[in-house]
Amino acid sequence: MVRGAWYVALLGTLSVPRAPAQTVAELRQRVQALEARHRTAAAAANRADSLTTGATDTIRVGMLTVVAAQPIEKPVRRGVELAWPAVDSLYGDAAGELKRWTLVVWDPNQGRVPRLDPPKLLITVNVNWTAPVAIDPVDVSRRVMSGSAQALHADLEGWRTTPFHRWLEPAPAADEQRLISEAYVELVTLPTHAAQECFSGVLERCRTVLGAAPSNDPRSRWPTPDDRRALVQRIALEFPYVIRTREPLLHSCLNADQDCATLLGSIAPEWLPELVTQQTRNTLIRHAVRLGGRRGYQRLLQSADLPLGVAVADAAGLPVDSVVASWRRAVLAARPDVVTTSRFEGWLAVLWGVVFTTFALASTRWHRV
Amino acid sequence: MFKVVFLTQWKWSRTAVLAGVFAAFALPILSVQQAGVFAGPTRELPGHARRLLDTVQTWGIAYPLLALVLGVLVAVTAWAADHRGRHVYALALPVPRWHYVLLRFAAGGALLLAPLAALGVGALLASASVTLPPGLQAYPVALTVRFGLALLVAYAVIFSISAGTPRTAAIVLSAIAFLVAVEVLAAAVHAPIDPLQFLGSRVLSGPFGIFTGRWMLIDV
Repeated sequence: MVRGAWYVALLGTLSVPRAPAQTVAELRQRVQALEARHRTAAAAANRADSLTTGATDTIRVGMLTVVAAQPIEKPVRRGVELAWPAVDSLYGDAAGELKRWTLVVWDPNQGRVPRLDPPKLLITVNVNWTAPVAIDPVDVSRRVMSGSAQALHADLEGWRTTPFHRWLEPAPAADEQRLISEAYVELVTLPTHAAQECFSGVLERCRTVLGAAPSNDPRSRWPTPDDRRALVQRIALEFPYVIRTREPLLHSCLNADQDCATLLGSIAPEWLPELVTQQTRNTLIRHAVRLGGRRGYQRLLQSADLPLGVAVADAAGLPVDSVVASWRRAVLAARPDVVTTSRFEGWLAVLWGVVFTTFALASTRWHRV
Repeated sequence: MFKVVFLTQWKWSRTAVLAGVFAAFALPILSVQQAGVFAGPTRELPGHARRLLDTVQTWGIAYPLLALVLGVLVAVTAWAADHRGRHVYALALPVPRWHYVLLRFAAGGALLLAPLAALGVGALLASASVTLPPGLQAYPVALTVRFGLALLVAYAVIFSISAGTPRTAAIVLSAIAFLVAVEVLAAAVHAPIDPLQFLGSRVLSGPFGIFTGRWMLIDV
């Protein structure tokens, strides 16, 4: 029995794998690794401690005042530095209003919000406290731009609540270029005659399409009988209850344009579709503000009760037709690059082909076999 | 001599070339077929032109991908037999190396003309088969030209790597593996470096720039 136990013990000892760090060098290596991990943990703990004590930094860039927890001060400052040029270039002098605001960059896991004098605005972010770069400065910059817009429009009724508001948010230059390129695609692909005529250069139609015309009459928004008939059919299909009480007009509309016009005139304006998306309309407003220089946005803010055509003319300080013509030129210039290869691109590809083939000629393969 | 090199290369790579011909011909036709519901008699309905563009765009990635795959396959097969035979056949020929390399390159290039022509024919047929909404245009010739240039670049790059010694190929592959390892390590420790993105942006703005952009048979 005892002998059997010895055998079992011996087998057990032999089957146990060798401990991983038996030599002095290996032990030293493990100690160094442990020390490195300890340093990382201590750094994370320090950051957490500084949060619990509520230590914050105030960052001032341009008219923006931003408060952030000390451990994330650097990336937040970089984000604010990225955001300010976009805010300043869009809002111009109106951005002066932001001077009295404090934007607080705040992570919900951070605990209590710093006590600050109003007006203040919380900009919620997600921070990875243990990572070397706790937060992405580009993400911070976008949130700061959005926060600036909220602060600037805080006193305006209907900010972001009405479907076709005219107030703008700052955006990076690349985004603005993309939006105007998308306006080109939208203008080209809209099936209505008004949009097609706008594309061909009829400014009056551009005003109609963008909702900046003096009259909101359906006859001018859908100028041809085909447009009107197509619209009535669309409304009958999508919102049949809107024209249920006007059945006779609906049937006669197929043959008599006058009845279509009467039918459309009798429908409440909110049931009539917009000719372009709000995004494209915003490109006009943005363009007008840019034309208006540093006081452009301030004038737009003062035109809250005026029709869009008047507001963009006021913002730009130019007649509305000039603004729309300038906008159209900008849209046409922003046509997306199609698959066509430019002469330079083509020759460059051929050049790369020649260069790489030359490398093959110079190979030493045959000298080594 | 070109004829002999061409015929042997055709023998080695005909499966890839024939598959490429089929794919290149079918690609534009399939893309237009799928988008066809938004063209034709219903093309003037609201939103149809936009949806047609979106559908064609989803196929856009397939063209540069096909060019890359074909370029790689034909370039690799061009040198595979030489590597296997330790270049004895090539050394036995009464031509200098540069002449032989050019023959190999030209033979592979000539084989790639077949899928290029197939794409051109397919794109022309596909464009002719739809009535586009106003404002949209078909670009069959431009698409074929871009595809041809992408084929040339992909083929030349891989051809030059394949023509090198195994040591050269090992260095290139090791460099890529090293970058991938650095990328993985950087991600693991949340380090703010991204070597693959850095290299990718330079490669895409350099030799592989032709592969970028909107590869759309139908566009604004």
